[in-house]
Amino acid sequence: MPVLRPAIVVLRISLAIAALFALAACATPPEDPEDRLAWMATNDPLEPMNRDFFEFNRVFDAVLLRPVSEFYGAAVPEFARDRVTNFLRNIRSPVILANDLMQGEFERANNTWARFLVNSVFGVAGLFDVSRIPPHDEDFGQTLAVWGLSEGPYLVLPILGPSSPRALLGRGVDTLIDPVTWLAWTNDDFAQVPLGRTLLGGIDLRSRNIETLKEIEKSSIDFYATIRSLYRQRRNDEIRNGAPAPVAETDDWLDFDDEEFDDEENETGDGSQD
Amino acid sequence: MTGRVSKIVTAPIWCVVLLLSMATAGNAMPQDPKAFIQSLGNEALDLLQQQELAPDQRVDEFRRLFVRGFDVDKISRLVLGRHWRKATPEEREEFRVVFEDFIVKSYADRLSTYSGESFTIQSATKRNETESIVQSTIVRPTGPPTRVDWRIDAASGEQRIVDVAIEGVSMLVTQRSEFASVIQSRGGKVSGLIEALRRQIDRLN
Repeated sequence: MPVLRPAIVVLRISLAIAALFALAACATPPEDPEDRLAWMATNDPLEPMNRDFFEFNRVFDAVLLRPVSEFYGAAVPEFARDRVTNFLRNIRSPVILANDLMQGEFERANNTWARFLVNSVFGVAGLFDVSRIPPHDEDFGQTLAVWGLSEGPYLVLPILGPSSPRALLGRGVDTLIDPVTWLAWTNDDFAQVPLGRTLLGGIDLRSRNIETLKEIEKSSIDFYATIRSLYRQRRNDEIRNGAPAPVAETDDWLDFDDEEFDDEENETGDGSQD
Repeated sequence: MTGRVSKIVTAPIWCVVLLLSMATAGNAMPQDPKAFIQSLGNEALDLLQQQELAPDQRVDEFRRLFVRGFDVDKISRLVLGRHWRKATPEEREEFRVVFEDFIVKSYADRLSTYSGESFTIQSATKRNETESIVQSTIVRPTGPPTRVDWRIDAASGEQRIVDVAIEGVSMLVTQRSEFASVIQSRGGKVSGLIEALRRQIDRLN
C-alpha cells in the first residue's frame, strides 16, 4: 500500500488543478488596446474565481484560522512558540538545501547545511537556533523561476491562499523530495506528521501576522488587489534572494504620465511580472 | 490567508517614523541622500520614544510632515499611472487632495506601535539623474532585521521621498496596482476611485 500512495497523491493534485481550471469563469479581455495591455500585465484572467476563493478564505480565516491562531498566541508562551518556529524551520532544511543546490547557490547551500547540522545536534533537534547563521527559505517554485519558468496567472487557492501554477507545482515537488514525506509514506506511525506539520505551520504563521494583516486590510480599498500585489512582490524578492529589484520592475512603462514619459519610456515590465 | 506578508508589517510604521522625524529636522535638510535618511531616522527614533501627542494632534502633525517629507505631487501622478493622463485637471487636483487625506488617515494612528527598533543606513545608489535609492535596515529587539529601501527624488531642488520598499515590497507599486483595480471595477473612471477613497476616509474618521 505505501508504494501506491505517492501516485494517488499526485493524481489527486492533478485532478484538483484540472477541476480548478474547469470551474474557472474566465474574465474576458477588454477591447481597448491600452486596457488590454494593462489587463495582460495584471495577469489575473481567473480573477472572478480568484475573488470567490479569496472571500471564502476570508470567511475561513474569520471563523477558524484567526481565532485558533489568536488562541495559540495567547495560550502558548512566546518561548514555546519560538521553539515551534525553530523546529519547523529546521525540519524544512533538507528541502531548502536541495533547492539551494539546484539553483547553484553553493554559499547559501553551505549555510543551510551548517545551520541544519549545528541546530540539530547542539540545538536540541532544532528547537534552538544556536548556529548564528541567518536563516533563509527556498522552495522549488523559486528554483523553477531561477531556471526561467514564468509564473503563470495569479491563483488564489482555497485555504492555502495566494499562489501561481509555478508555485503550486513547486509545492508538489517540494513535498515529493521532503524526507518527512518519505517517512510518512514508509512508516505508518508517522503517517499524520506532514498534515500536522502543515496545520501547525499555518497556525504559527498566522499567529505572527495578526496585526499585519489587520493593518493592511484597514488601509485597503481593494483588499484583494492589494494582497495580489504584495504576494507577487514578496515572491519576486524571495526569488532574487533579496537583491534590489531592477528599475524596470518598479516602474511600469504603461503607468507613466506625459512629463515622466520622456526619460523613462525605455523601461518595461511591472512589479507583477515573473 | 497564509500569504508571505509577514515582514511588511513595519512598512507603515517606518513611513510614520520618518514623517515624525521631520518635525524637528528643520528647514536645512542634508543634500546627500544617505545623510538625509540617516538624520531623519535618528531623530525619528528619539521622537518615537516620547509619545505625548494627542490623537487629533497626531493627525495634524502627521499631515504636515507627510506633505513636507514626501513628494506628494509626484506620488499622486505615479500612483495613478496611465489613468493620470486620462484624468481631467479637476480630477487630478481632487485626487491629490483625497489621496493625501487617505494616507494621513490610514497611517496616523500607527504612531504608538514603536518597540525599540534601531536603524542603520547601508548604501545609496543613483537611480537616474535626480533619483537615488537609500538602502537601510531596521533592527528589532527580536526577530531578523528588515530591509527598507527609500526612493528619493531631488528634482524639485529639495530631497523628497517618492517610495518606500520594505523587504522588496514597494508601497507605490502596491497602491498603483490597487488603485488600477478600483478604477477598472468602476468603469475605468478616476472619479470612481476618488469616491471610493472618500468613503474609506469617512470610515476611518
